[in-house]
Amino acid sequence: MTSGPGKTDVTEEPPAPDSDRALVERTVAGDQRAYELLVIKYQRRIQRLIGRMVRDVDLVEDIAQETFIRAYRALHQFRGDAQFYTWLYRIAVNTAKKALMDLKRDPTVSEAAWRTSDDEDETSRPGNEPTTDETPESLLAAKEIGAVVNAAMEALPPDLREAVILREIEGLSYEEIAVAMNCPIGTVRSRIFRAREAVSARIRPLLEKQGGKRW
Amino acid sequence: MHDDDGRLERISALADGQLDPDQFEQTIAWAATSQEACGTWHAYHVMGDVLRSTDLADCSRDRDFVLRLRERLTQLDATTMAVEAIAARSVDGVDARPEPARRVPMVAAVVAPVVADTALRGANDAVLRWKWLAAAASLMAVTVLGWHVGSVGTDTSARLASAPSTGAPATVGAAVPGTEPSVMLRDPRLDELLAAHRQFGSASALQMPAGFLRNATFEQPGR
Repeated sequence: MTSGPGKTDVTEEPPAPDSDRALVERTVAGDQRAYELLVIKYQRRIQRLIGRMVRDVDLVEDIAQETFIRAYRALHQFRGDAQFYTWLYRIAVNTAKKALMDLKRDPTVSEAAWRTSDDEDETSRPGNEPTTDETPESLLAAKEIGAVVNAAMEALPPDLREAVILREIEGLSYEEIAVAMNCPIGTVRSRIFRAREAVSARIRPLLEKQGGKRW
Repeated sequence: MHDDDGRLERISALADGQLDPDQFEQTIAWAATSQEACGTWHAYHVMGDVLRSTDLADCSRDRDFVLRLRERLTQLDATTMAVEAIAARSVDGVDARPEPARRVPMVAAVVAPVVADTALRGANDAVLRWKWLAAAASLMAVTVLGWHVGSVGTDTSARLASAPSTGAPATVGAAVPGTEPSVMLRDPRLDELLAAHRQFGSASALQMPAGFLRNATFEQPGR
């Protein structure tokens, strides 16, 4: 496995610092913008998670905001025993549950705002209908981005496509990809970067059209 | 362009947790502050999310979400810092802790309106100062007067109901306890009051002659 031109140097590389943990440490040290990088990374996953419990899109966003604020306030308690996303996931679930309990106690809020236990089974939800506040435009934009990503991936050279699939979908580390593709880690890093640049060059205009350029 | 590619490649490696340790701090610092870096970071993660699940392709609210959260976090930091500053003062008496670099001294923003208001009133300070002094002097005189009247005697108890009755003239003016009562400095208004007391000296609250009740004065030491 390690012979030949694609000899890997796995054992020589020092362990790379966990970027999530480093961003947490930087946030605790006082850099709020470091925390925003974590938010950008996980906001869609957290909102999707909450969306499985709550139907109203605005409510999903409010609960997601509350989740990230609670996490921010509790960051000093994050010991790093588990992955940051695992820790954030639990906060999101607890925050959503609490919000649901508060909603159910509020007689002015309709049941349409939250999902019932029947809705939790996706098979009972006919045709995966859109939630109450998703607009046709946002659905179309999401489909467009999905289509552009897929098309851009198809257009990639095979080695770049393979490297980014192994990383993004299979979740392999650079070391593991280097072994799988029989190439140095530096080559893996370069291929993944070039693949991302090629795809993001095509989706970035869509992202900017949807949400603007300013962060 | 090469330098940009180098930095963007480090953003890509940062997204995978695969950045060289010696480049970590610099890359994070750039990613946190650069619009280009933030946009690249966002695009890379959208791509990864979409590859994993098309449910994650809706990015239309991403920026607004982050901007809204940023505002709330800034307010949270300001509130936390103000509370900590107040708590520090109440515990230590002084602000012994240096403030963290990232935090803006928002307590100043609370104090600033008070300071500004004081500055606005500075032009009238001279007039107001004398008025305050006159009012304070009047209040002090009334307080002393009331104290003296209260210690004269019990035959005017209806007017002196709120003052404690000692039955003996108080050694008013004696600054040091245990010393002989000294002569009190005369106050014309006090003299008038004492004269009024003498007029009513025989009419006590008992509504009957009570010779044993004396008119206490300050001219003689009490017996």
